[in-house]
Amino acid sequence: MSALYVVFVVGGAEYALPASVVLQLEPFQGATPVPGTPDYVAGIVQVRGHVIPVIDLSRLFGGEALTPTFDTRIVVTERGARRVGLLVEKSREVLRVEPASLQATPGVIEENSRGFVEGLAQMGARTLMLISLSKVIGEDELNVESPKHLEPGSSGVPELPGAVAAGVARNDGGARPEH
Amino acid sequence: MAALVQNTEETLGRLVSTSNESAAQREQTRSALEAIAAALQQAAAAVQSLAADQTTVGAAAQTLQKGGEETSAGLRELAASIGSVRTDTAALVGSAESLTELFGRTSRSAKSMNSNAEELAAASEELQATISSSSSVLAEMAQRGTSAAATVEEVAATIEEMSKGIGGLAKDADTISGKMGEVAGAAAALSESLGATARGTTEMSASVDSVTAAVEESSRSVKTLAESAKAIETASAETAGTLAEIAASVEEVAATSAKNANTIDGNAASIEQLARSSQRVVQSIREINALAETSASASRQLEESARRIATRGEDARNLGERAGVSAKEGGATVAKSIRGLGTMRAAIESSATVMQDMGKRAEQIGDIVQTINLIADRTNLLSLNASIEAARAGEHGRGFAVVAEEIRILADRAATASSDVAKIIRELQNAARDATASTAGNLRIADDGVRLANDAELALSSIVDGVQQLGQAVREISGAASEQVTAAAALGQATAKVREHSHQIATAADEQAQATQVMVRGASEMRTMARETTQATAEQSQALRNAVRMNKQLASGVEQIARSAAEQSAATADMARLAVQMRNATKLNALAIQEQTKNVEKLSVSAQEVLRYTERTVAGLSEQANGAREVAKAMDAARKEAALTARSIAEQNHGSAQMAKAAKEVAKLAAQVSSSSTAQRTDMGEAAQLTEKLQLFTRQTARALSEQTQAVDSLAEESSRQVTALKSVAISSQQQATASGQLVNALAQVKVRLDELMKVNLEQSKSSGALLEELRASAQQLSHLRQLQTDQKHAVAELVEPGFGQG
Repeated sequence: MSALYVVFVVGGAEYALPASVVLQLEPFQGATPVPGTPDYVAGIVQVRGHVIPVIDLSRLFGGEALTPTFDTRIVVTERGARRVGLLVEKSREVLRVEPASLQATPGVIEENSRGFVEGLAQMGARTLMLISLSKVIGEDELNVESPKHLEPGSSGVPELPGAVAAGVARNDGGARPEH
Repeated sequence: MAALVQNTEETLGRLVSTSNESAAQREQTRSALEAIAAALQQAAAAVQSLAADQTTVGAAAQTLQKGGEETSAGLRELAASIGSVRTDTAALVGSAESLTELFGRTSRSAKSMNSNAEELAAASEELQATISSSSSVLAEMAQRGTSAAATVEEVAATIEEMSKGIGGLAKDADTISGKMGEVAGAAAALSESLGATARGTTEMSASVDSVTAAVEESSRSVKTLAESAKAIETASAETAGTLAEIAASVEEVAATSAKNANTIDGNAASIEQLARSSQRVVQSIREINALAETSASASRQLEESARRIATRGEDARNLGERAGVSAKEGGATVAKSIRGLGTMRAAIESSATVMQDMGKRAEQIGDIVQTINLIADRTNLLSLNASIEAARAGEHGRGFAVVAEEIRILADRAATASSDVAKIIRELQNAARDATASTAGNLRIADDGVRLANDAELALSSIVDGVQQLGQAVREISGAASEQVTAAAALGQATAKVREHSHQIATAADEQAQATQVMVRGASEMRTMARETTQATAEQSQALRNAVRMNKQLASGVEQIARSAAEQSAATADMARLAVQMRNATKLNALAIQEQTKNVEKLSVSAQEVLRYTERTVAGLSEQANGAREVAKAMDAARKEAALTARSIAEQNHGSAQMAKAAKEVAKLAAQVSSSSTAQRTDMGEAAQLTEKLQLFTRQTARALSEQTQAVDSLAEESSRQVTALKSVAISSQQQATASGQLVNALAQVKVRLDELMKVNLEQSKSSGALLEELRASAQQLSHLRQLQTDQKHAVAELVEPGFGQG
């Protein structure tokens, strides 16, 4: 049975994630940088009342920091209780992918892509790289339990790991330095 | 100028096409909006109409291109014909140069005529001088002739007197002759008586007494004889005195004759000199005649050349007037073009304003399109999220997922369309900027066109001025030439007069020469006569000298007679004394008587000799008288000749005066010829200057023509550029068609969210309509301008044609 994939672009290449792990897409209007975080963490943003961290995939994949444009999107993913926004250049479509078009990553690439790409999807002339979400947002790297004392959406306080959430300003605040 | 018009046309065409493009785009947008408002079908229809419009634009562009190519070909023809005009102008320059050369030749011939006239004047002056010198010689001669006549008359009077004297002398001689006859008779009687004595001597023996008586008687007779001899001696002395007188007179005559002969010789020499000077006069007159002939032919040549100049000038004037008319027409056309260019300039300015308006509107549209793009983006996001949500909802969300997918597709299309629109808007803005820039260029070009047209008008008016000046110059040349013709005719008449006068002078000189010849003949005759007279006088003198000698001999004879008579008387006395002794010596006596008889016979012989001598003297005297008469006659003839000479000299003097007058007239005429020749030379100089002006004007025309050629060349270049631009218009039209196809897709999708665009679009449409109207007005002006340009081209062709006809 075919599955729906969210397609996005990072560093000019097309990647895909199953729609099942994507909560939503958000326009990027800047993130609040968080001190002490790795350089691929763009900062934190508010999405539907939740504060989530945003990872710059381009940076994470070894490229330059993304320059925000009109098309820049945040792909909000959910893995278990963990919600992480992926900062991508562009995301304008969702595709149905037949299982037949899925194939494994060639060994050389898998070895050299630090495990971020876990498969390929051939869509006609297009080739989509399937992202390994666990590798991207990992459980080890962001092993923070969501604080349960806050009801989601009740007060606009993000469901962020405490370490990250500490000292985080409201995303809808006026005076916030641009990225 | 035409090049600029073409350029402007080209640019305007580009502008029109650009504005068409923008109008079409506007139309497209509007129709798309309407289609979005109403239905996609309407959009399709609008796009179809747009496509049709674009096809029309393409066709129009091709037609325009063809027209541009034709214009280019026409311009090339124009350039070629202008080149031929330039060649013709060069030919005109050549003919003007040859005209100048002709002027130079005419000037040289005028100069030579002038020198001829001066020579004629000099010859006339020489003639005058010769005539005055000959006149003075004649006057002198006349004086001498008069004095000679007086001398001759004197001589004649003297000779007449002398003749009278000689007549008296002849009478005296006749008387002497008669007396001598008597003497001879007495001698004869004596002889007879002596014979009787002899006979008586024989009787003496008979009677001595009677002898004595007889002796006494004889002594008385002897005494008578002595007396007679004395008388003869006296007469002889008288005769000798008269003869000496005659001889002196004759000597005087001879001297006078010699003097006379000298004078006559002098006269003859003078007359010969006169004859020589007459010959010189005749020769001078012949030279004058030849000079007059030369000046007549020179004046004829001059007249002919002046006529030729007048004809050439008339031709040049006609050509110049035709060129002037064409140039005036060209000027009028250029003025029309200037007006058209001014109108076009205003239209371009208003279209520039419209363009700026349109640019502003395009910016507004860009903002709106930005908004649309934002909305489309958001729609895409929302649809994606809806899809994700639907996927997460599983089977329940399946229908929703389909809707969400469709929304996403629509949103994507809207985004694409809006970005296309944004691109179009950017192009439109670029086009508007280009249009503004090119409008500024157009304005500059139009200004240049106006300036160039003004220059052309100025050049044409200067051509007209030049042609008018040329006409005036040619008229002046014609006037000068006709003046020259008149002057040449006057010169011819004057020369004819000179010739006539020369002929008169020649005739007079001939007459004079003839008269001089007659005079020379008369003089030589007179000289001969004088010589004869001298000779005769000399002979006469000789004869007189002989007569004197004879007379002396006669005187001595008579003395001898007287002496013998005295001796006889003494002897008779002795006889008487010795009569006594006579008886004794009768025989001695007889002998003595015989001797006496012999002596008497001798006496008789002497007497006869005296008679003979006297007769001869008488004959010589009568000869002398005859000679004197001849001398008188000759003197009369000489007087007559002298009078004749005086008369002929007077005639000659008269002729000389006439000759002097004629020479003066010749000199005057020569001076007139000289002055008219100088005037002619001045006219020649003016004509040469005018010809130089003509050359200058022609060269200016040639320069203007080459400038025109250059302008036409640049026009041709502009035309070919126009063709290229039109090609690019066609290409951009095709591109526009493609864009239209894209726009169809775009417009089909933007439907719902572009309602607000409607209002703006309507405004835009209105401004577009205004722009189109302006552009149509511009196009109309342009076509008007093109009409004017065609007119101008025709005018240029007409302008070219006279040059062409000339060549």
